[in-house]
Amino acid sequence: MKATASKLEHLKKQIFESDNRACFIERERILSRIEAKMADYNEPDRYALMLSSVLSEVSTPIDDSDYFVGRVPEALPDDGMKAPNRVLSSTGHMSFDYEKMLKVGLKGILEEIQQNALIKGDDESLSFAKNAEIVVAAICDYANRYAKEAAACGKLEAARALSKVPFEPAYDFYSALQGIWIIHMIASCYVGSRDYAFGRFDQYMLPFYEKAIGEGKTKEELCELLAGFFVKTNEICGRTTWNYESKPVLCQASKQYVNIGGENPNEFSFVVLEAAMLSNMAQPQIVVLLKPDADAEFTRKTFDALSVLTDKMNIYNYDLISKSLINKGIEEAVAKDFTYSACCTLDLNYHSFRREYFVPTSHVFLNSLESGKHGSLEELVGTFRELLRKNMQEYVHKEEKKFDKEKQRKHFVLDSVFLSDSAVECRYACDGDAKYDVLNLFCTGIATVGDSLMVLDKLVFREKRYTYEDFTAILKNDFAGNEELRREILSYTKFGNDTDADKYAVIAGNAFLDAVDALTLKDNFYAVGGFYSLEKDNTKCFDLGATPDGRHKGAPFSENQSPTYGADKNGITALLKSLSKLPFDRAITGGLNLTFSKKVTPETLQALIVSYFQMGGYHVGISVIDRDTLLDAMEFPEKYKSLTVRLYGFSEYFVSLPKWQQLAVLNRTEYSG
Amino acid sequence: MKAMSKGIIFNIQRFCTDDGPGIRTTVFFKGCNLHCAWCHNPESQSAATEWMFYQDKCTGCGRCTKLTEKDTDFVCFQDARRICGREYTVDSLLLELLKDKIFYENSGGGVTFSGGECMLQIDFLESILKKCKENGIHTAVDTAGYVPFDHFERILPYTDMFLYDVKCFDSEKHKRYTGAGNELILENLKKLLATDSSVWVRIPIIPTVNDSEEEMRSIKEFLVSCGHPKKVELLPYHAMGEHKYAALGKQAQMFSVPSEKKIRQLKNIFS
Repeated sequence: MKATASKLEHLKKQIFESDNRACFIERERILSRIEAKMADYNEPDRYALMLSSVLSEVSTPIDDSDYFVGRVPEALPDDGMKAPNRVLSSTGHMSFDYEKMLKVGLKGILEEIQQNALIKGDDESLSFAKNAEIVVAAICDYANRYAKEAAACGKLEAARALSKVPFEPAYDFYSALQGIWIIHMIASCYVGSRDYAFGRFDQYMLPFYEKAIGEGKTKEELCELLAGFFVKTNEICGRTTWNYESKPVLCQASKQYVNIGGENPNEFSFVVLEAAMLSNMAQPQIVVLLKPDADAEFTRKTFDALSVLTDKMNIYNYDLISKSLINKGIEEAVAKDFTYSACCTLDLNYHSFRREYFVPTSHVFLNSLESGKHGSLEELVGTFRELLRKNMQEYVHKEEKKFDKEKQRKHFVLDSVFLSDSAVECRYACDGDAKYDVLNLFCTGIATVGDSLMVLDKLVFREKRYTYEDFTAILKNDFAGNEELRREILSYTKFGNDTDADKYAVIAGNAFLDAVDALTLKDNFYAVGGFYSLEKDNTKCFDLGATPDGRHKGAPFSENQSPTYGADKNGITALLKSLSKLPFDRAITGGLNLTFSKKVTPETLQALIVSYFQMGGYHVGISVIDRDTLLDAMEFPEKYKSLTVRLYGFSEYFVSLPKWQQLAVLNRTEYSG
Repeated sequence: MKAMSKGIIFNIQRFCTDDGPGIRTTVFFKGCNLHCAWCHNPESQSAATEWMFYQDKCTGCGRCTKLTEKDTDFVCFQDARRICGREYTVDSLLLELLKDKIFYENSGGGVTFSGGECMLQIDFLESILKKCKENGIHTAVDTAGYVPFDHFERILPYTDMFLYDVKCFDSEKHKRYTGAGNELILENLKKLLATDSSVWVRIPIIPTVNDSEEEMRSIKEFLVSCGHPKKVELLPYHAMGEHKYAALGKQAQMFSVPSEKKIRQLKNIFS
């Protein structure tokens, strides 16, 4: 056990000591050299040849403590180098079909692509197949070079594995993980994109786990291997946030999502949770798809893990979401195979290409208000719904134009090989022809809009204390000279207290979702609405005028699904009841963060979240925050390199955040018993 | 029993995890017949509604200058002046308590009636306890025990557990710090422990008053002689009630906060 600890600790230490300003130096040098040289190449060959050149030239470093081999050499960028080079990158943000890769190998995938291309016979399909062949060959050569290096270092298991995988099917637990790692690393670091996710990891890894146990391996040793795999996911993404002092690599701050649970949690799901607790770093983010009536032991284990992993874990209501997807017209097998990755975003696992759009909901709301006099709340909501629809429809049109352009730029990216539905069709996954093109449409600032509707209904429409014109003029003036009115408004009970006031957020939410349903979409487009906002969108508040809920011009609007800051005064159970009133049976993307001020017991967490899901709640991510620790970390960051906190839909290293964001984390509402 | 009885309540706190098992809603009854020097809920002492005023929150808007005792619906925008104590009927209180039923069920929690001294409103307490049981809610009563034992007998059928305060063993000292001797309290505890009731004894630890090992040993011996409560909890003194004394225009008597080490030592006596 001691050796385990020291090996894992050594790998972790290296990550914390790595230089966040460093880039993947060999890739950058090679690409800047060949990019100009290949500028005249016709597209069909260019991408595949460039990726081959990179993979054939880069070195194959191995660390003594590596459980799995596959590292990317790093150094500070050379003078004048514009790292990172984007020539090969795709959009990322997707889950690969590793199940298929482990079963048939790249060999099997390629054969299928080639057969289909021949059957289809068109130029585009044939060129797709040719590109796939070049890229697969390059990956295999690279894996073989790594196998030799591993043999030379005495890492015989890795050497044996890489002489077969990922070209051949995986033959055991170790070779499966080694094969996945090589592909994941090439996609993230050498192609260069972020937020590739591991899909339904516990499902496709189970057969390999069972076989290993059957052959006499212990659960402990397999768990340690997996922890070693999990630590590696931190090696590639840097320790910075996606919006602040980025590492100059294309997978910087890439979130590494591992989904488990769902319809049938298994023995290996437990091992995933244990390995995550053993490695316990910012990555991977563990997503548990939890049925409210799941196996008691699995539920217990989930919450034991949550109390350790806290901000690194997301829990979603599996039953609610799979039902909603089926209602959307998605075939059952695909609907039940959904995953979440990259900032609480819905993905149909490897079946879908995924887009996301943060709708400037609060801006649209103010525009509705200012667009002319409305005689009733219903009228106002009607205008709001219509302007939302227009705004989102415009986005859809822009996306359609964008992928026309993308199609001209590239016919092929590595990703296409691993999105099975696209691979079968021999089509580039990002061109809008994916079998399921999922648009995640996020309603930002739901509580701000809901509370604003409540105030307007009270003061203008019901009590008629202000005329429509007078009240909008007060907002225009940012409540200047009306401070007492503003204080009165702030004293009203708002969304988040389990009172009648919640109904207005529900009205706002339904207006948004009705607008989503009214969009005109291509047949393979599936629009999914949800309540979510990232701070890059919250910073849009700076140009947002005063809102009827008493919010001053330029002040932040509400985050994710949460009430406005400090508005929830009746505690967490009331908050969860308020939230469960939101139409989550229609809104299945986005997330909720809860912050606890002290160590809550796993039993209490379980009771809260299972109750929430039984009431129709959809997602929970939690933080357990000790204010004193955070304050100390602000003063002595060097002591707290590994301290993580939850932001939006994922965890980040606290000391890597800018000061304003550290303060925002400190100022959240905390719940304690 | 008076069917229409009303209770006077000064707080209903949801998501309490320290007043009995699981997730609970704690109902604080107004009015107490002890006056503990360290009381951290001074607004619980008087049985009448009263105004509290938080100077630091006041912006001097002047809206409250013409208030009378009857204006209990007044809402201060700054929450600087607020009424403490509200009347509830059994049904209106039940409605509040049912709100978190799903959380009680999933956590093995329920409702705790506390105070002040909830037993002083025994008619109302009995009615609401009965209602809770009719609705399948686990019930706990948090009491200092300074009431006739027939009060306990009345509620025993509807009370799943008691949280019973023992403050100090020496009656003279008890009288000095709480205004009453402890004979009745200890006698009631002895009788209660002789029933089937589940009882958790809770001891506030107040430095210089009852934080000695002898004190704890005396209490322990007494508890052993009565047949053991299910659990003994020590509640370290905290000064968080100080601002509420100021808001009521009263002077708080301050004690020091016991160290964690001290609490550990004292806990060991009961383990």
